[in-house]
Amino acid sequence: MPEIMIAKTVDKKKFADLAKAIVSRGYRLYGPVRNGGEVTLGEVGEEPEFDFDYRNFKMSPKEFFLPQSEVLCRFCRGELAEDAAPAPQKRVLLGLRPCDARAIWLLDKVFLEEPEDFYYKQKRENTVVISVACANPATTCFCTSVGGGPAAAEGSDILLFDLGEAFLLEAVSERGEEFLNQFSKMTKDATKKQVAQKKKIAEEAASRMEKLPLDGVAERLAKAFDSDLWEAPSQKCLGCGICTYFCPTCYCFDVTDETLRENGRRVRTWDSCMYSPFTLHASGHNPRPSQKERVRQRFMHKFSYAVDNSGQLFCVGCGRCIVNCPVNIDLREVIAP
Amino acid sequence: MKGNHGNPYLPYPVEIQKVTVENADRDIKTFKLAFLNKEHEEAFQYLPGQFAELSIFGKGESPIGIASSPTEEGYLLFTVKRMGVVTSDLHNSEEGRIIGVRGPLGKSYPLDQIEGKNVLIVGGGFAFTTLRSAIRYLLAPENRGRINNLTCIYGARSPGELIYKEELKEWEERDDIEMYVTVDKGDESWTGREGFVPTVLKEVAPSSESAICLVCGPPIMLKFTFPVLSDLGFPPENIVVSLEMRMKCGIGKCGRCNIGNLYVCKDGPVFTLEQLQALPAEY
Repeated sequence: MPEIMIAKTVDKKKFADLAKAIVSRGYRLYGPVRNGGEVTLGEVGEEPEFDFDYRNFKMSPKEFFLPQSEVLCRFCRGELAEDAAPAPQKRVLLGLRPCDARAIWLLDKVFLEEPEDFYYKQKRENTVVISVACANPATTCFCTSVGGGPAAAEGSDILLFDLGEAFLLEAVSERGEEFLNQFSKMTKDATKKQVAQKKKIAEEAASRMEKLPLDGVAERLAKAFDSDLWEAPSQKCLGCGICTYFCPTCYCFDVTDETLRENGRRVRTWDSCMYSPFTLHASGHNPRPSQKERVRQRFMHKFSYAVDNSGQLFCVGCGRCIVNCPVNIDLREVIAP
Repeated sequence: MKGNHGNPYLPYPVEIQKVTVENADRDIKTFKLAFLNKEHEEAFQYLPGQFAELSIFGKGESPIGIASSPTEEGYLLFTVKRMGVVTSDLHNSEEGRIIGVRGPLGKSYPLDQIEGKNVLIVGGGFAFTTLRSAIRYLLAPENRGRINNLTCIYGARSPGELIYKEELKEWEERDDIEMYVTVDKGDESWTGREGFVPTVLKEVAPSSESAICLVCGPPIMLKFTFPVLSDLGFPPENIVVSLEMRMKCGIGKCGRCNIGNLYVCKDGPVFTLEQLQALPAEY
């Protein structure tokens, strides 16, 4: 975890003013937006209300870096017409949970590895991520089992703690420090007491979380490749792919061309390893012909292959796949010994 | 790989200079492509075994092995079988059409490890394309002296399905490459060898002493070729095979062409048999 750089506080009553100042500095500010019973990350209006009492956003914020549908380039009469790279827009994403920020940190390992993904990098470099430490993890949360924590810093630029009367803002990256310094007139240095209070919040939340026995999971699953471990979940699985759409670290995409008369665009869209055409060869051969191979691929990718390639589990323990699976496949039961 | 404007997703524009029908079924064609811009040509530095995405705006992209050798300057060759949307559209192309090329992608054959060695090339069907690149590369005056014997066994279903027929004849007449061309079943005019590639390989029995073998062919051929190579004494680390997989991005991001933890596009398409044996058999 990065060392603490600076810690500031701002009174809750003055937080809306800080938000306005952020917008007036040219940032587009995205924060929690209530939509019926759900909370999503959306552009914040003139009179933002900031309470961070939700468990997590319905959808993961990966779409801010890897949109569900994104134009790669446009063409006209079969020739490249324009670079589709839009002018970079400075953004602040406020209110992510640390698990989702960790997911961005994991996506960096794929998209910022050479050759860098031009579209992802542009968005990543122009975005300040402010995560809110969790005081009340859900029963389906298991971040502490997969390398994260309710106040872990990976992927965030700033961590926000709710101290009751005030919010504590802790810069955890250089980008976060530079950002906070722009608003130093509106914040106060955190006192020792406040820093102690924030530590307590994080520790208490972590202590309440269930710890899954995942030591050595990569080797264990690699050995179980041909075992019957995959039978039960794949027999239940409908192949709907909802787990991959909700997952903050699932990043597989398709690239397709769309045309209307002589004009067209090349678009990348989220894809899913749960679908049979994902690996279907032009010859008709499919290396993953049944749902068993596809379910196995998803778990193996996250808990074994990713560890081999980047040293990290590609799961952040957000629990969205557990909550949203229509046939109640619980990832924790599949990967636990 | 840096693409157009440093963006690896954008193809370079190229002109189709020549289209050659390769087989009797007329569903395999070789496209000779020339870059429109000199700086793109200079940026496209490749070696045998690498591939590229052929890009047709409005249709999509297809990953195809590069059939030309970097020792042939001024053009690229791609031999393409008509299969889906992109390759069908490509097959309908006339000379002079502008398409895109994105690459070079993937790893090449281990040509840095061939110094002083015997090189055995085993190919089947239209998967002979990047092996053609390797042969042209090794036969180039600046490279031929780097290796000892060069032996090639190449087979197809029928005489009409052999690709690069003119070149095969040329190579058969040369004395710096030993060519064994075979067909599963000949026709009235066929005077050459008959028999499956693994059978011919067994008969020819090239030495595995200080040798490296490059293999590319349909799965059934690979399945029966590996045991023969093993019997000849080739250890798995000296057997190099090129694989195919469904691909999109070609740069290890889109997530679909993996075998175990390796991506065919970025860690392959060239693998040693030793590498493959350590991976799940999911290809």
